[in-house]
Amino acid sequence: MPRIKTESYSLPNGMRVVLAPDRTVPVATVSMIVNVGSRSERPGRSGFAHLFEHLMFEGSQNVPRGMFDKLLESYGGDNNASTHKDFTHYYENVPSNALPVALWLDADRLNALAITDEARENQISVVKEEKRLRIDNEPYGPALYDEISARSYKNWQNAHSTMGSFEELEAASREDVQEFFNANYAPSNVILGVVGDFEPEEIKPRIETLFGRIPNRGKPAPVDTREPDGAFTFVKGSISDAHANLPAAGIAWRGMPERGTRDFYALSLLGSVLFGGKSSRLYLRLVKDSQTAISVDGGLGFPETDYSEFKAPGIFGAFVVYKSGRTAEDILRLMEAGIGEIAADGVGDAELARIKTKFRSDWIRSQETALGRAGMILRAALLDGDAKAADADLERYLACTSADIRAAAAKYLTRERAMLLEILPEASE
Amino acid sequence: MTADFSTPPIVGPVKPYHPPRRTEFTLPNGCEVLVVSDRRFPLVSVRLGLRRGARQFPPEEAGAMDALADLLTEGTRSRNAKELAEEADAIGGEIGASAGQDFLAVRAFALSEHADRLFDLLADVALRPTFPDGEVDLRKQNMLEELKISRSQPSFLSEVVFAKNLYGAHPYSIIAPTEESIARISRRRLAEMHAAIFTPSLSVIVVVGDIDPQAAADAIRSRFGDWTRRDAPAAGSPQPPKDRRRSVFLLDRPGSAQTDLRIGNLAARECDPHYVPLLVLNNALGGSFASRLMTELRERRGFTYGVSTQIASQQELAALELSTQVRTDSTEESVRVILEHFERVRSETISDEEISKAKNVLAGRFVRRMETQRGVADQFLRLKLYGLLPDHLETFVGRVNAVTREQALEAARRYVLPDSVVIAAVGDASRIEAGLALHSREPVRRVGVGGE
Repeated sequence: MPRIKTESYSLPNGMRVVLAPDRTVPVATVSMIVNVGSRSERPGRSGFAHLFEHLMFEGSQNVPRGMFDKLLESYGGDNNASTHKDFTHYYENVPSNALPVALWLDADRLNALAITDEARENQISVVKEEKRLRIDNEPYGPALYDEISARSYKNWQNAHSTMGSFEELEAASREDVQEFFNANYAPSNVILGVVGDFEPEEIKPRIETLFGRIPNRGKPAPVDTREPDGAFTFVKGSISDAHANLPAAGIAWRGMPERGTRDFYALSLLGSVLFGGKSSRLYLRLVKDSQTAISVDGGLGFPETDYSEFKAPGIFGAFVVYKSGRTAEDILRLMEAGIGEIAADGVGDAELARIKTKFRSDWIRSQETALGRAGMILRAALLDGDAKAADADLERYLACTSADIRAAAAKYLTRERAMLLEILPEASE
Repeated sequence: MTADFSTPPIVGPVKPYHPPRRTEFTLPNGCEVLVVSDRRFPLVSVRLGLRRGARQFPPEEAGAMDALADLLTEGTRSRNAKELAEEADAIGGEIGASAGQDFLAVRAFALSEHADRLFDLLADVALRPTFPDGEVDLRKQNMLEELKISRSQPSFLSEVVFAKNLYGAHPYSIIAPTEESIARISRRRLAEMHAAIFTPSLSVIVVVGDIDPQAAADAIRSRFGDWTRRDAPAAGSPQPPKDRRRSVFLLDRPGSAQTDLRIGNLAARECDPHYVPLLVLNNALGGSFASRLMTELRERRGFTYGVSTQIASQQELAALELSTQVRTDSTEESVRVILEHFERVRSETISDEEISKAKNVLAGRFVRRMETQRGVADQFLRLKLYGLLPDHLETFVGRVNAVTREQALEAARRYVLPDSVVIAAVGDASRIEAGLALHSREPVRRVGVGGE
């Protein structure tokens, strides 16, 4: 197996740095993972982490508003960012000659972001537009991005949506935004990754000069994201959807185990057994054999996030668009029949081998690009505390046995843990 | 390092790319083979390219080559569609095919420990497809649905109108099937087409990956060595119209809030010495976010969300093609401004800053494509199919960096032709026709969804 060679260290101001040189192709990625996601927002400030991600492109001390993208493109690079439940991720891909420019851009915004009223108001309306486009006007958007989480958790930190509410976004004053930046974008809350074609001894002094000047502002206080103790009971709800043509069932099994536990790995693979493509158990059962469903999706972390971006607590979700004339409970029962087979008999040798082979191949291919490697080692550095954990992780997935998967199915995908949401087309009401 | 943080650090040009070493040979039946050792990851990628594509067949059969490519993986003499999909999963891979005007390509990869099964799968799909009736019917139904969806999209319609009128009698003028051509697709006809073009003398196989070159060569010989040679059908096409005057072709879409515009002319192919300078020029004109047209139409005037120009080089012809969607009431002014910019790049050189940005963008995109094994495999396949120079991949960055402002100007004078462009417009005719007529040297021609 290929391993990502990494070197990790910290600057005096607390910022962690992970270097992963690989000189085979003259390209590089500079990436920052910031230890703030929607789960760490304060009540009344939903959507802040995501709004803030937008503001990070709106200019800084030496980079005028609108110039970040343009400047990077003029060196042949590109960039993007994304906000998750547990972190915010930024990256720039560049031909390796332009690596110093990407570092300079990130240091400038981390050191002195320009937080203006104009940029803030403008980005609040951009985020609203994004929400309309991606959630409100999409069939099943409100269920997938909002309702399933809202109904699966008791703790507000976990239950509220990443996109946030319009009222709370609008209430964001410039002082609020500045305070959010000072607390969460402090150097000790950021991990910088540099991956690809560079010489570590050349790049280290550059990082030191550019990022080392940012003052240490300590770490933000940790947020309590634990769900209250107590047994689960089955819950069921129903919503209507203005854009859907067919009914759908959203299911979330609650109380999933933490990243790094044996059950976590087993549940990740169970997701592939049940939902991974056209030879998967539930695709065959619901779409092909019984012909009750049009599409079937799911897995550990779904639909909130990918299993690899999962801290805890989380859900194991499923989403099934089905033909009229059935109910969401029918769908849940069909799925439970499929899950019950695994909970009783586990997974056959050939099937498990095929799933592990595909899993390993996907894992390897995600490392082909500097960006893919950067994401993997930064997630490991943040969520597991060590960039090198990325390599060891694959072996733990592949060590799962049929008995592990059987036990995880029996323990976690139970009726008591299930939250069932029926989504009905508005016209049919 | 100085402590001045106010300006970006000064950096050198994009570094050259050194592709991994390759071995090439030709099987006795005429099939060319290229093997590249790329041991960064335990993967093997393979490409089977055929030097024949959709233009080999008459316009009445538009879409049949796409169907043929899609159906290769839906059944072979020894496996049905589900078994093919399971085998691909079991070797940690995927397999698929796609067809264009000039070529057809089968693409597959797997974990290198399963390389043997990958080559078996490739040979099965390429040499022994059965085009089962049920799968053919399903594909035809889906093609009709896809066509309906496409025709609701203005960008698809403008592409049809543009190609139809730029390429005229040349088969590149056909970019989509029709209901009639889809109805003609049959299992028997697909099998005949397969037999006609899947012949070793038209083929090139590219293997890239974590595999011993000798082992890869042996594996290819054993699967494709006894592939029987057949006479290849002749290629060659009628020529597009010459000496044209700037003309507007208008497809009416009443009530449209935007006009979808495509504007362009025939240009330099990749083998032409002016091609790389033209790429650089194109980048400054409309090929990037910071380009002149983007700045003018989007930032300065707010007519559009985006505008882009590209050099679309195919085997027989190439085109400079601009694409944008502008507000209906800005249609006339947009066309005027675009033509002015076409004129301007012919009359004066682009600036030092523009040329340096253009080079960075082109060279940067090129090297970033080579990060993945599939990127490397696709580039080597292109090299062979288009007959590019053997050192094309090694020298591309250097050739881009060597372009001068004068060479870019010369390329513009030859290949940016505002007096003879084809202007395809899809929009509300009642509101835009008069304005468009101001820029047409011929009467504005109204066309239908087929572009005629």
